[in-house]
Amino acid sequence: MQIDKKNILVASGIALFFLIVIITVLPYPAAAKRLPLLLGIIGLILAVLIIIQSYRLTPKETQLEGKNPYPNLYKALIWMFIILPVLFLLGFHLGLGFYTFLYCRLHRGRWWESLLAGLSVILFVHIIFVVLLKTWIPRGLLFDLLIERM
Amino acid sequence: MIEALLEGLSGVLNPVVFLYMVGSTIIGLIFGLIPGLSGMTYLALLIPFTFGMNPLLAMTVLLAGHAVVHTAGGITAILINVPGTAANAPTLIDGFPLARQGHAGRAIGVAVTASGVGGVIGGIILVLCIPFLRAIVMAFGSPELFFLCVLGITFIATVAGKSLLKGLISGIIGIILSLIGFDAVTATARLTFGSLYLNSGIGIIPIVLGLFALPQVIELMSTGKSIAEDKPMATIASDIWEGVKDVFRHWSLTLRASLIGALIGAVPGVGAETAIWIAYAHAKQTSKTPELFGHGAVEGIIGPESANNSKEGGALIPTLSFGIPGSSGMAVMLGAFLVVGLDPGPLFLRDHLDICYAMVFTLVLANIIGALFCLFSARYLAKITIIPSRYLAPLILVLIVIGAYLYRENWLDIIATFVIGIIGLGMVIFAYPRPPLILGFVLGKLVERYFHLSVKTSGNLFFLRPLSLILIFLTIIGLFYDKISKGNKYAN
Repeated sequence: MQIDKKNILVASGIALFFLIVIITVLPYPAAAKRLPLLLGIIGLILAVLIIIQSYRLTPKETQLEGKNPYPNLYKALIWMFIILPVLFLLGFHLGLGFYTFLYCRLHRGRWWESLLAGLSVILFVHIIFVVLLKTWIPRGLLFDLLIERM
Repeated sequence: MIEALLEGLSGVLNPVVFLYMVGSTIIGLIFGLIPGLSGMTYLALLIPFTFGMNPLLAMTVLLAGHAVVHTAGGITAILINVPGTAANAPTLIDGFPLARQGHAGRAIGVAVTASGVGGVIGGIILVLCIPFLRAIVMAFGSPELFFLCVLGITFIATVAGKSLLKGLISGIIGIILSLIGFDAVTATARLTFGSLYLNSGIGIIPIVLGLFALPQVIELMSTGKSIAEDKPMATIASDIWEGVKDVFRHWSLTLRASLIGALIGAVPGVGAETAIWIAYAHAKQTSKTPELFGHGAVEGIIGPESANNSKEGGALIPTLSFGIPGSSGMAVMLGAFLVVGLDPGPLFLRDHLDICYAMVFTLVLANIIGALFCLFSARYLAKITIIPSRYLAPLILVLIVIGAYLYRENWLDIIATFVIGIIGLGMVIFAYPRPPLILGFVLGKLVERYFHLSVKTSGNLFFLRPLSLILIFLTIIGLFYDKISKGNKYAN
C-alpha cells in the first residue's frame, strides 16, 4: 500500500472548488441554487472518496497515475504563453507571423524555412479571416501607438 | 418526408456547399493522418471558420471532416505502426505486418475502402432510423429527457477513463461550468464572482479549444519530434486495388462490422474504442483462418475500419433525436451545432428534417470522397507525417488563438482558453478524462432546464414515472458496469 500524494493534492484542490461552489450558491434564490448546490455536494463527496482511495493505491497504480506524457513541459508552457504578449503588442497579423518565425527559427529551423512559415501564417490569416470571412482583427498596441504618433 | 429528403439532397449538392464539403473532407483526412490530432481537435479548430456561415454550410464543414478522420488514420497505422486516431489502433495489429510483407498498398486499399463502405452503411442506418425516431422521441417528457442527459454523462464518465470517480467529477465540473452566468429562471448572476466577462457564461469554444487542442500543442512542443521522425516507413506498392477488391470479397464481414459500429455508436457514451475492438473480435471469431490474425489478416483490417466509420451514423441517432451525444466527438459536434444556430433535440426532427437528411447525405458523400481521395493519394498523404513539430505546433496554436478571439471578438476568450488549457493539461497528467467534462458542459443547461420543467410539471417525485425508472435503472447499471464486467472476467 502506498500514498499517492499528487493525487491527494489534486483531489483536495477539486474538493476546495466544490466547497467554494457550495458556499457561493447558498445565498441564491431556491430555483437558482438547487442544481449547483446538489452538484457541489455530490462533487465534494466524490472528491473525498478519491482522497480516501488514494491512501489505498498499490505502488503499480501510483506509478500509472503519475505518468507524465510531456517531457519538456515547462519549456512548452513558456512558449505557449509567450504568444499572449506578442499578440497584444504586435497584433494578430504581425504577431502570429513573428511568433511562428521565432518558434521555427529557435527550434532548429533554417532561416528561409522559418521566414517562409512566418510569412505563410500572415498570408493565411489575412486571406482567410480578413478577405474571406471579413472579420476585424486587432492590430496590436505598438501599431496603434505608431499610428497615433504619425 | 420525401420532400425533406430531396431538400436535404439538393442542399448538399449545391456547388458551394459541395466544394466546402470536399475541402473539409481533405482537411479531416489530414487531421486523421497526424497521430494525436483527433476528430475532436478537427472540430475545435474548425468551429471558428464556420462563424457567419449558414447552418447547412457550417454543418457540412464540421460533419464532413469529422466523418473521415478515421479513414486516413489507418494509413499511418499501416505504414509506421502508429494509429492516426485511437479508433485505428486495431488496424495496426494486422495492417503493419501486411505492410512489412510488402503489401502496404493492399492493406491501405482494404482500410480505406472498408472505412468508406462502413461510413456509407452508417449513413443508411441513420436514414432508416429517422422515421421511427420521430415517434420514439414523442414518448419522452421532461423527466425522461432529464434522466437521459444524466444517463449520457454517466455512460461517458464510466468508459472515458480508468477511474469512475474521476469521470463523474469531470462530468459534474462540466455541468457547473455551464451554469456560470445569468440563470434563465431567476436572472441571478451565478458563480461570476463579480466578473463582467463571466456574466454571459463561458463559451463552448474556449472550453473545446482549451480542453482538447491546447494540450495537443503542448505535447507537440514538449516532445519536439515529427510523428514519423524515427520510424521506418513502408513503401506503398501498386496493389492498392487488390485491397479494394478484398473488401467486396468479404462483403458479409464488412456489413456485419458496420452494423456493429452503428449500433454501438448509437449508445450514448460507448464510443469508437468499444465498437472497433468488438468488430475486431467478431472478425476473428467468424474468420475461417483465425490463426492469421496478428500476422496480416485482411479481415483484421476490414472489421475495425468498417466499424469506426459506421459508428458516426449511429452516434448521430441520439445526438439529433434527443440532443444527447452518442460519443465524445458528438458532444463537441453538439456544441458546434449550438454555436452555428442548430439545436438538436426532440424538436429538431420536426423542425429541421431537411437538415437531418442533409447530414445523412454529407456523411455518405464525405465517406465516398474521403475513400477515393485516399486511394489515389495515399503515398503523398503519408508524407504529412514527416512534417516536423516546429512547423505544426505554432500553426495549430495560431488557429487556436484566432478561433478563441473570433468567437466573440473578446481578448478574454483567449485568456479563458489558456486557463482552460491548463486545466485540460492537468486533467491529462492526473488522468481525469476530458470527454465527460465537455459532455457535462454541453448538456448542463439542458439538464437544468429539464430538471426545472420536471419539478414544475410532475412535482418532486418526477422520477417515479415508468420510463424515468427504466432510465434510472440503466444509469445504475452504467455506473457499475465496469465493476460487473471486471468481476465476470475474474470469475471466468
